Amino acid sequence: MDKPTTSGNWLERQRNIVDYSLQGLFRRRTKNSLILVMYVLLIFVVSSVLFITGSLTVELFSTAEELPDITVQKMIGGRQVTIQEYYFKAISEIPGVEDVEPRVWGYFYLEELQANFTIYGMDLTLLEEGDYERIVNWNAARKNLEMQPEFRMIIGEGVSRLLKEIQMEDAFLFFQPNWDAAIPFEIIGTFKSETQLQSNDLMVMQTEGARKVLELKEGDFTDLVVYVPNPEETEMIALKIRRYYPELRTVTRAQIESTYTSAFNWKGGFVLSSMLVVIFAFLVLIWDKASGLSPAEKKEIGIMKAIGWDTEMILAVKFWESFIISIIAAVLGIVLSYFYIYWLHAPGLKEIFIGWSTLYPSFELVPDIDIKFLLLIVTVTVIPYSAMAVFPSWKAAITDTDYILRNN
Amino acid sequence: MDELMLKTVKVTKIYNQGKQNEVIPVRDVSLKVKKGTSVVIKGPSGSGKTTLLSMIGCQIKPTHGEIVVNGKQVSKLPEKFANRHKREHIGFVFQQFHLIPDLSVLDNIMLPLLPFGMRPAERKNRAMKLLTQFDLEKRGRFKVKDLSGGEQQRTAICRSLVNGCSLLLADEPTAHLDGQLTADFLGYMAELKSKGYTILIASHDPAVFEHEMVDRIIEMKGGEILP
Repeated sequence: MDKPTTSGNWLERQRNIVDYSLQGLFRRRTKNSLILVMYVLLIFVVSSVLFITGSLTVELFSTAEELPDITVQKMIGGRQVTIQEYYFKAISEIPGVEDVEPRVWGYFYLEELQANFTIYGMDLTLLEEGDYERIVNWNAARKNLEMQPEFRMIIGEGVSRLLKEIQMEDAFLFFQPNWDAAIPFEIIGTFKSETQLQSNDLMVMQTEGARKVLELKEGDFTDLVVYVPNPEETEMIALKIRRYYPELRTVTRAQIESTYTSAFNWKGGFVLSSMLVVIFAFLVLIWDKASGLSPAEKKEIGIMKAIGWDTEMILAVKFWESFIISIIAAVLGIVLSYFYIYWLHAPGLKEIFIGWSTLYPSFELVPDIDIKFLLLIVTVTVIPYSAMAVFPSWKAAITDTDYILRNN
Repeated sequence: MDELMLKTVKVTKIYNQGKQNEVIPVRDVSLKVKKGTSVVIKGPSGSGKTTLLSMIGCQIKPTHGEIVVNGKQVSKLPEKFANRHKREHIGFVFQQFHLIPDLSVLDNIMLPLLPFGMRPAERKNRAMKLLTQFDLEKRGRFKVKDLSGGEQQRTAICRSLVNGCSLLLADEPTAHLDGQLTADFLGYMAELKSKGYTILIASHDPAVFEHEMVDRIIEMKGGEILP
């Protein structure tokens, strides 16, 4: 038989190595399938937590832009109570304050659906006159009827979905057992889904209607919002408000942001900690890879060496084997996680992050994939696994061929 | 025909040198093998035949001495070059065959060709030629573990020849074979010799060293060649 070309083709050699790696994976399919399942589970858990944390944080920051600079609440006995109109006038006069708006808002619990809605009162004609096409899907048919009932409202998509279940798509009757009669509201539009964390459970209605539903007296407000044009002054103005009126509490936008961010990060850490079993199993798997090869695998390496394979070629085969498993696991884990979070809406996990969501109408998580997160996942799993898998093969490959073949 | 294929000069192998459990399986072995000849190294178990063959086949390095194969000094080659020499010039039939049991016959035979960077069709073509030559063409897709002992040995011979080697080494090739399979094996060796291969067999089987294709017998005992 004639001799093959000595140098050969480098690319073809790499292809041969990858082919042989795939063949090896298939030959040891039982063991490799088990590794793959564990690996996919790990990546799924880690990426699910990262996806949901990332999405909630982005959702939070997109809503935070709309938040007032300072929210002022009145406290009595550690409880928030309604705030009176005269505070509005007094705070408006503090230098540096651009605007103060009293707000009427609260919650309405609908037992029939076991859902809690956020009621927000305002003058809806301002919305209709302004450029609000971006945020509201107007119920055009109703609008064109030019019916101007006293009580009208715009609702979030989550509310809309829930109300459809009880056939109240166009109008809703608010009722409490201690009321004499129900209060009818016409639904004139829904909010678009861009900022669902904020608007999903929302019912924005005429202020008079909101007062009735929330049982607020004339001249009483839920809170005040203060706008400060110079961000450097926000903390100082908040401090002044608290000094002048010790019964008032101030919450700045920065405080809200940092509270939510740390809450989501803490919850992310909590979930990952509770998944320690999976992480531990993966570490055992890595340890198993690192601690040794089966006699059959060692013998195979011995045979390869005996027939003239270089150590680096053997390591390349083993590297590709682990790399292929890692990449398949990473892709599968991330895709499954994406499907779980954004298509199935993270059942089981979302409740951990949004503690009160059993009361709130559910909201959609807007996909927000940070490439840094994906790289982090790949880095902390694929690289150590591939390296650990190659290590025992390297040990076998540098051992005397004769010794390996005799002893395995 | 007078050209030398192999020359060893005072080749010695020492394991655990300087320790209490020091072993010297091969001591000061010098021999010459001409191209195209078949030589049998005979001797009882533990005489150093396998160790000598392993050193000639670059499986292990000698502690002292010099091994020259086809004019090239191989005993002190760095590992990378020794591997290259092995895959390009040496064919080795191991006593235990050392095939990969869950690979097919065809894949086992093609295994030495992967590092060459040869295209799959070319690899397959070379392997198929050998399968036909050794009457294994119907077994190509079989896994090695499903073959008989004789078929496994023929697979091992095919694997050792697929690289177009010039020196074929066989370590106790008939140890696991019955009389008929031993005769078949020797028939194959005779055929290879007629094609110009240089064959070096380590064996203590009389059927081997008494065979007519054998040109020369070297006897070893206690790690040394007997005069």
